[in-house]
Amino acid sequence: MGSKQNGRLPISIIAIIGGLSLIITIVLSVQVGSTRISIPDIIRSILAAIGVIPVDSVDPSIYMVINGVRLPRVLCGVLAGGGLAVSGTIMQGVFRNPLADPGLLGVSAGASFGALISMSFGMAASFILYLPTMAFIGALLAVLIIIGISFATHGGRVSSVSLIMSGMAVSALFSALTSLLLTLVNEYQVNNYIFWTMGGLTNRRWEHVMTMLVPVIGCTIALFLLAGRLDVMLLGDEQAHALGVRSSRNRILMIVLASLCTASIVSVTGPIGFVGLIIPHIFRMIVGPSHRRLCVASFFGGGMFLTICDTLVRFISGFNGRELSVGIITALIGSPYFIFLLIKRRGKTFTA
Amino acid sequence: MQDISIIAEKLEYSVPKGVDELSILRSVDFAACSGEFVGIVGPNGAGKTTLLKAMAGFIKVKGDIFLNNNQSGNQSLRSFSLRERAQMMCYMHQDTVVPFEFTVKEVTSMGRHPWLGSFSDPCAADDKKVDEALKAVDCYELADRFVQQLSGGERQRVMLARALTQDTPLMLLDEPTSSLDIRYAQNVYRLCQQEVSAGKCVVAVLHDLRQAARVCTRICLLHEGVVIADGVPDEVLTAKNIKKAYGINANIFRNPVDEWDYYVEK
Repeated sequence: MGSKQNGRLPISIIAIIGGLSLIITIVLSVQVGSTRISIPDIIRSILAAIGVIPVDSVDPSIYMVINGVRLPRVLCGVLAGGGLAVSGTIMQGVFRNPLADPGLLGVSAGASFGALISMSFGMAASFILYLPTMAFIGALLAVLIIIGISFATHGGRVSSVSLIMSGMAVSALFSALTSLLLTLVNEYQVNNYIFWTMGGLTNRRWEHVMTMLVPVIGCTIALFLLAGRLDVMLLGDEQAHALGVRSSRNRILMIVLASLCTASIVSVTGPIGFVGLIIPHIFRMIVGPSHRRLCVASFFGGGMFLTICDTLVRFISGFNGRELSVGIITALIGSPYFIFLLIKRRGKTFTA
Repeated sequence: MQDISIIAEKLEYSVPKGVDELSILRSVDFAACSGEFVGIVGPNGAGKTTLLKAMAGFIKVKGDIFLNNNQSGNQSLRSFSLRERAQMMCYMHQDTVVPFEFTVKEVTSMGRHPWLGSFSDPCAADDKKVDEALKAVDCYELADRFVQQLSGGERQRVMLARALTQDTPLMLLDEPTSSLDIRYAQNVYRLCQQEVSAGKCVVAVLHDLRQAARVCTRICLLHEGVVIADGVPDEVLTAKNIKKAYGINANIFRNPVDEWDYYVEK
């Protein structure tokens, strides 16, 4: 594994560089805020929060700010960014389509509908995880319906085209239901919903980190392990079959894992656009299209990217007191950089 | 190299065509074993590719297909796992399009997939096989190029390298020379002959009857899903059989250099 491959970075190097950069990003991001805290205090608080050193060795007021407010928010950003980027990588590979994003299988539409239901019946305020749970159920429902339709139309062999088509249909259905419900609820709830759909990490707490932790990390590891097969599947279903890989089965497995990962993220943060679509492209240009390396690079890269964007959101809100939605920043920063990469590579072929 | 033989008995395959069914294969028997270079020839739509795909196990056909790797005895193709099959036979498509910017070397090393642990990466020995295969098809200097940027013929040679890298005793090749110029086509035929004399079994769908007659040890002539002749080239490629399969009047003669040859009457 450690050897040089085709002049491209080996996985171990990508993981080390990515891991270190991510840790530095987390520490620096935690430092941003209205109370100024020194870097050593931040590191001690983080170590205390994850149980490495005893809590009473840290100043309690600093620990409150770090552990109670900033660290969970930053970790939510890391998990969401990393998970969305890995899911996007897998979706683009499975569908052989550079425009595929993690929400392709109705996850966002389903989650939005679930979230709106929880808001419109006024129950979202009663329990902190009520909205995420409803959104997660909505997202899973959408994915299950889509995969079910796909199975039914192709007699057990699931093709990419049937998945995309049923994904579009089910997304449209859930969007219509959402619109219908929006016309029935009051204006305050409509505003709430619209703010939620812009995606954000404001006031996310440890409960939110914990709901995402297992699905995001679990799915990411599983997808990384399956990613070698995805490379072979890109040669076409029959060629993959001749190399010992059942495309149909693996395709479903990967899509379910990616959707599960996305669903758990979207239900906590709301739909955050751009990360799952563009981060895989950026890192494909840097580490190459081989999916094992790309999964590792995308996870760390996506995590860092969203954390940096959210740090900017907090930084800007420090001046005018009103928080922007992180989705605005991801697109504002990411798009120009992506366009720059496209122009720099002028003349070379681009993805599929 | 492990000995292998493949036997197909009474293969039937049809696809729906309106209310009827269109028969692609009609009771086809076929066999090949180590040391044989079998050319499957016949007009367009005769079922050549379908026969090859059936033997590779891509499509479900009626009839039986047995593999014998001299350890197992004759065993049904379905009784082997996909991975075991991938270690016994490779398959080369007419044309393979690879999305994203994979390099020639990356695509070629995908041929090692059946030999790797589920979650491990290729090691130095695998890399060596990749390099050897690329050299064998004259593509070594293309190793770091993107497959998308290659010409059709270069891509076809890379796909052959990928099949060679799989290192299987049975090779199923669907028109391996269709986009190659005469020099590279010659190289590919010679390469197949070398693999065969090293103890492999090569089954290839071919269109060039002259070349097939010169390089194959055996020829199987298909016409409308029926094997109309199967044997050594001289016996199969007769004027009568060519008339029957292709509907053209061919005069067969022996040229002093390559022996079997033909020209078509106007």
